Amino acid sequence: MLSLSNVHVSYGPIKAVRDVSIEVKEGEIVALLGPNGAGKTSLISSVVGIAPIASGRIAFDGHEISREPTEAIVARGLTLTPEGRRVFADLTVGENLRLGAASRRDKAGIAEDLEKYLELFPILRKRYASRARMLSGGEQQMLAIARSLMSRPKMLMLDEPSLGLAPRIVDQIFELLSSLRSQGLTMLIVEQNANEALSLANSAYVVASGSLVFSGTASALKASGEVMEMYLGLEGQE
Amino acid sequence: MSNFLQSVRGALILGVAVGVIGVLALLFAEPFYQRIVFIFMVNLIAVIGLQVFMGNADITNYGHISFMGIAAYAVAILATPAAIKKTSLATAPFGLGTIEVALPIAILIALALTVLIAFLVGTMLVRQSGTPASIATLALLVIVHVVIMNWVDLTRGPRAIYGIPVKATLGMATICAILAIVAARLFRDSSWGLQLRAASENIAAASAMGVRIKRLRLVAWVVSAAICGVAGILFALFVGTISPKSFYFDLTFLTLAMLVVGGAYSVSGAVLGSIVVTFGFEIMRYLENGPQIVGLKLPTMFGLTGIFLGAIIVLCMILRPRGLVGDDEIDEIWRRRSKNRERSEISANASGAAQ
Repeated sequence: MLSLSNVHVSYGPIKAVRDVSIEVKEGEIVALLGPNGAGKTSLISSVVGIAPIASGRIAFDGHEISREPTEAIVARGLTLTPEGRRVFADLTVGENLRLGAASRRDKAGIAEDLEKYLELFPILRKRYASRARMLSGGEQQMLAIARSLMSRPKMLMLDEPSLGLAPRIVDQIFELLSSLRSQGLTMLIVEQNANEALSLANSAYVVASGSLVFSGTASALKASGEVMEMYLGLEGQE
Repeated sequence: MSNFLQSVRGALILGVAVGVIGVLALLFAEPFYQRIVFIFMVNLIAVIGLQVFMGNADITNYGHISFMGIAAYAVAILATPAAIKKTSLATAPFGLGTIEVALPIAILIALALTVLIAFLVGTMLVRQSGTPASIATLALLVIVHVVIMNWVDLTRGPRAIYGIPVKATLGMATICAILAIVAARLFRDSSWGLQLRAASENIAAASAMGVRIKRLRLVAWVVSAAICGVAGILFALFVGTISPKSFYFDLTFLTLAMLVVGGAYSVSGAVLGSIVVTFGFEIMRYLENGPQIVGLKLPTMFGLTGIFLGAIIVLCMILRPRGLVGDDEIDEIWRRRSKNRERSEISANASGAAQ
């Protein structure tokens, strides 16, 4: 569904991502792992046209999207939930959700989806008229995910959904993601929390210093003690 | 209640307040004070126009008065009787010195021209954010002024255009002000306004969701210019004579002060700021001329109004940087307060019952 071939991302003279190729198939969850500063965020920002790609090709759903503006990519059904729960703190929960549908024109469908996600996230219904800044970290992450879903994506990219959250909340978030997969949503999850992500993912990629150092199935990564230890600081399964 | 009705109701609360001011002035005020109230309405419309762009796109704008000027000059040049133009604008290009356009048509042309110029300038302006964009708006103000000053054949340069049909009334200005309030509030609460406000809070997150920031800024800019154009037309058709200095720094900073004091992020702020600053400004103007108060002759103090404007902006920046009203509309603040009160009453009752 999404394929990146030989993508380079640069900020002026600084090369953030070098020659990375990634494949995400429909209905899959793919984990993109790696230490801090490895270029994970740059990479997925480049996919939706926020970070500039220096060279390489990105195709989504059979269309080349590397030169398209963000709104066109979102309208094609590829949405990014940015890192750090970038909810609009001064706006209400309801306004945040409406903004998720910024690229859509079908009013009836938007209202329908709003109802659907308020059902799925009861806490958001309860806090509907509150400002997003009044929500807890976990609630803000739920809001950020619900807001992304409001664009009715075929595929969702999540940047560090567990960042800064208590373990119990992280479990809740990953449970939610797993239920979204069973509804057929394709996902690319960027994580430092490798264990949680791998428990969910079908396949995994590991980047370090801007380059790909591993690609394969999630179980192959878990079995590869060297990569797990060197890049993710975890013990592999022997 | 739907969002739309809530916005209209919120706007009408402000509209009623403005309407009451207008009606009271019409019924009871002497012509001198009616004139002050008329100018207040014109300034109010310009401030609301300014709010549409500045409040939603969060870009400080110094260029709004140039659209007031463009519209005022356009209507003046088109609608002034040919007999008067024979002495004042005989050499105007495009045959404008000899034709006389019916007033409604002149108004429509003036508005259309304002919108067109705003659109052309806007396509360039909206690529910038923050201070560079603000400086571009300042440049616009200066450019329009210089053009008016120097295109002598068309505008009489620094000299005034006179003999413009005096057709605007306080009633009309009040109605226009109320319509402007409703339009600005609907824009603010529309999905366009919402997306713009989201983008001004966090541009990265907004663009990640596919918000078309530049396009929306352009829409806000053009709507803003059109509302300011209405203010300019009313001004020209009330005073009957205009000159370049009517649409330059003095009015720019007066209207900016009104918006900043009231709060740029809401239409309520624009209205409240206009009222407060006009009131203060008129008092200062009275004191400036050295009046006699309870037997005490005060000295004349030229420049007091300027000091007042400067002081009120600085005080506001220090004490209430987001203006008197803040981020929400007045009706939203009331609704939230009454909800909180209900909640605390319920909890008080509950704890009372428990004892």
